[in-house]
Amino acid sequence: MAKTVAIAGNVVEQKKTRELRPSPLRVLPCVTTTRLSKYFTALQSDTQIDLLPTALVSALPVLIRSPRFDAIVMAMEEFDATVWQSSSVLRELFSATPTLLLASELNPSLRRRAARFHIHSTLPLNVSTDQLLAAISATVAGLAVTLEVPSLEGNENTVWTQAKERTFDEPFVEHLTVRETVVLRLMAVGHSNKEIAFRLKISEHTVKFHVSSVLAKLGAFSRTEAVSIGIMRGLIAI
Amino acid sequence: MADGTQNSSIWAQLSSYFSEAIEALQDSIVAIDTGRGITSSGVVWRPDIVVTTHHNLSHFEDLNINHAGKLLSAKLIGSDRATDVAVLRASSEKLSPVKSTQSGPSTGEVVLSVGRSRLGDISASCGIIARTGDAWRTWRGGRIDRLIRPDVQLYVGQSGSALVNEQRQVLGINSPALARQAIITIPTQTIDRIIDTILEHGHIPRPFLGIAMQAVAVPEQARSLFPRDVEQVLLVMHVEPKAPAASAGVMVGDLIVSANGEPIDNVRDFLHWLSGLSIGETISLAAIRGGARVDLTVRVADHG
Repeated sequence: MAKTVAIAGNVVEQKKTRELRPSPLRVLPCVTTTRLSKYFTALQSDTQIDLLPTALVSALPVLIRSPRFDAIVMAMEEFDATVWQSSSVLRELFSATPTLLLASELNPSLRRRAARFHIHSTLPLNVSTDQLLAAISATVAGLAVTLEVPSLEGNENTVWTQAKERTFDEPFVEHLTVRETVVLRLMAVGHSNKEIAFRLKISEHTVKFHVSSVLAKLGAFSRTEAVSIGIMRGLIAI
Repeated sequence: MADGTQNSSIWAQLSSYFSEAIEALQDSIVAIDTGRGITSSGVVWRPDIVVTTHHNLSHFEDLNINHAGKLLSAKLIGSDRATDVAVLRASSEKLSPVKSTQSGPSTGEVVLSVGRSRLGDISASCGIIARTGDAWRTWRGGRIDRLIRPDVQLYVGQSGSALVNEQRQVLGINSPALARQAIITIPTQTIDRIIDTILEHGHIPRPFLGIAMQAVAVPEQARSLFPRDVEQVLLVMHVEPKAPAASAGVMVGDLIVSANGEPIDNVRDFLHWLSGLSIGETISLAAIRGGARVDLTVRVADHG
């Protein structure tokens, strides 16, 4: 099957991906939760790629020391901010290794956050095996692949765009929800997660979720920094 | 002289200076149970007064401190979020205050960071003074009287450790929370000032108006309403209910042009200016609302 691929406006004929690469791509599959551990089974039988054992995203900083893979494919049910908060290590890994993100729900906010980690290929979890294989080789070739709605008939809906040279230092403006703003204001007066939970009559777990979301959205590394950014953004009264 | 075990070698001398200096501080350094599963280090600054970093303390008034394996109880008498200083009262004959110095170190000077681990044993690290500088404001608007950035490691439990110079004087306490990736030493002057204020008032008065603002560019269509050289103004995003700004009639959407007649075009400057005001003082804000200029008088409150 030959695919028509539009790269930066030019339509080029691309031969079967299989013929482009003499050796199979070493692909590292990873998941955020063990519930998804069986997700990549369909890829195992494919000769085009050499599928490594599935890893947990949280284990990536350890695996990074021996980066003997050509691409990373990450599957997640929902965007878990806590996974990302942690490290510049991940950011570095993703900027150096072609990475694809598969998520159950794709939205602009997820894409923006993924882009901050230098991940430009985002696909839905229910992508077909062929589509995924094609997306992997395209991403390795330096393209950004985004797929809105998975199609059963082929690749007509796949949007192929050239990965743009972008600087990610420019701050992304992500809006906090009303709840997140309330949590941020309570953080500003020095309340702990426990106290915030008590005041808002929600569980401490939910507070942690809001806090990590606030930190991710504001691009802060600590509560103190989040508060300081919040003051500059007009979210916290002074 | 080739014999490396020679006692008079520079290495051996340096080592014994270091370990003696650390030994001499034994009774002035404690570990503080933060109530969050970790400890921080505290420095006995004055008789019965221990200082540590605020950011990792939980909000309990009663805290346990550990001095060489002995547990003592301490009371949190106050803390300042903006400078990350917490002041505790702990009485014990065993504890003796450090010799602190207000004189500034020079870049390159070798210093020690001395703290205590969770188990109560002394822990230390060594480095040089990486940077020094003038007074500056923290990201929460707190005034730090002198910039001291030591090139030391703060291991777990060493937040709040003492920074010690060659004369065994303490230059301040070390905080990892005042900069993103660097250790900052809160200098002696700042600590002394905060202890004095807390002993007098019980807390650090924090000037507060109750407005959240964001810098915006002057809208082109409304150019004529603003003074010519003003490029940016502060847009009021939120007014805290019952706060001074609310009573003064500040409204969401007001564009604040100047405070006390001085043009202010970014929130950081506003915050710093505000931090320098005294409680009860009245200030005037000039704002543009619906195309007309309004003058508002706000009385500075204490946010505690």
